[in-house]
Amino acid sequence: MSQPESPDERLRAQSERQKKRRETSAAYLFLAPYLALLCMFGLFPVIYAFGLSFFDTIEGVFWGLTNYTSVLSDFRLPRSTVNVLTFTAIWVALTVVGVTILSLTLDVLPRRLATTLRTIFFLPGAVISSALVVLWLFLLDPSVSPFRPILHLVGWETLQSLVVGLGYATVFAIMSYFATSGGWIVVMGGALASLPTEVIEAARVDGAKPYQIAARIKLPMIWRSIVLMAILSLAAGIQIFVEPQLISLAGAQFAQPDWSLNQLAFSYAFQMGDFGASAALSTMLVLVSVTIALVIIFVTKFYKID
Amino acid sequence: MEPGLLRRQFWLGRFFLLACLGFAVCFYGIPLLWLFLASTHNQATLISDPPLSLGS
Repeated sequence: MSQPESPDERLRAQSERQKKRRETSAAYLFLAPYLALLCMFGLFPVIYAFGLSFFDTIEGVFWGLTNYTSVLSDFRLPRSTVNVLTFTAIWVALTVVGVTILSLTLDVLPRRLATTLRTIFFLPGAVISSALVVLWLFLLDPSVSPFRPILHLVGWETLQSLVVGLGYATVFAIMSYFATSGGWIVVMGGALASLPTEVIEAARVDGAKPYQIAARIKLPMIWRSIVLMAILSLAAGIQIFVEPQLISLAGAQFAQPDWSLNQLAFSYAFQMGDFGASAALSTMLVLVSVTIALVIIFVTKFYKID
Repeated sequence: MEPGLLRRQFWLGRFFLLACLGFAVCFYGIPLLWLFLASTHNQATLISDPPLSLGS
């Protein structure tokens, strides 16, 4: 039988509980603005689109799975899916490899030089993505590009020949990499800066060379940040829209109105007026993104505390 | 380890580091410089007299 608590112990336990409750309330208070925005612009649109996907929005009647079957039987869907998967594979690979190598390289430079270079790499991310697409249309056009001697050397005399040579997916992957990698380099810089210096010092004292420290010590310690980058890039890659939509600015021959799945959803909604089909395709995209993210999280044991 | 092998590893590492940084500076820096220089052009001169070119 347990001993009855003394009044002092009861008071102490009560004040502990109150302190914990105050801390929890403060945490929720800080989270509240984010949760409100998440509900308004994240959860509510997903739930709304899910509901809408079962209705014929033109006639306003319940349709069951008809929107899903009509989207799945659309002849443009397989080609758009292949395009998006190709783009996502190239872009995620470029991002993971490029950002990791650059971050590890910057980490061995003197601090001031590394900070300057990191800022330069980050700058494109501060420019709106539609403007970057236009910028890259000029940069990839061999007639006006600063890289034109290199492009001519490869045999690309016109933008048309370059796009045919590289493929739309690679061109869009280069544009997206330029826009987003700088931000990730800054994030990785933060992850590398938080590594315990005594571990790296110990490796250096043991005679490890910089590339050994990078590959065998730093890399395994920042793998969670790399996985996070891969998951978020994957989710963003599946939603590609701006690049294929704006490439028509280079000329009508480049127009790709149904290149990506998001463009297909856009055309259902705003060209055909079929919001139900658009919602069905968007719901399927969300499901695919969430499923892939969950698989990566569980396979890599992302949230497991070491 | 032989001193020659050590020296070669050192230079290889240094070359890789410089190659990565050089590529990155060109990849990020030239477009930004082009963007800055292009802001001093209009649409006609952007085509007839491009702002920046590496070599002739």
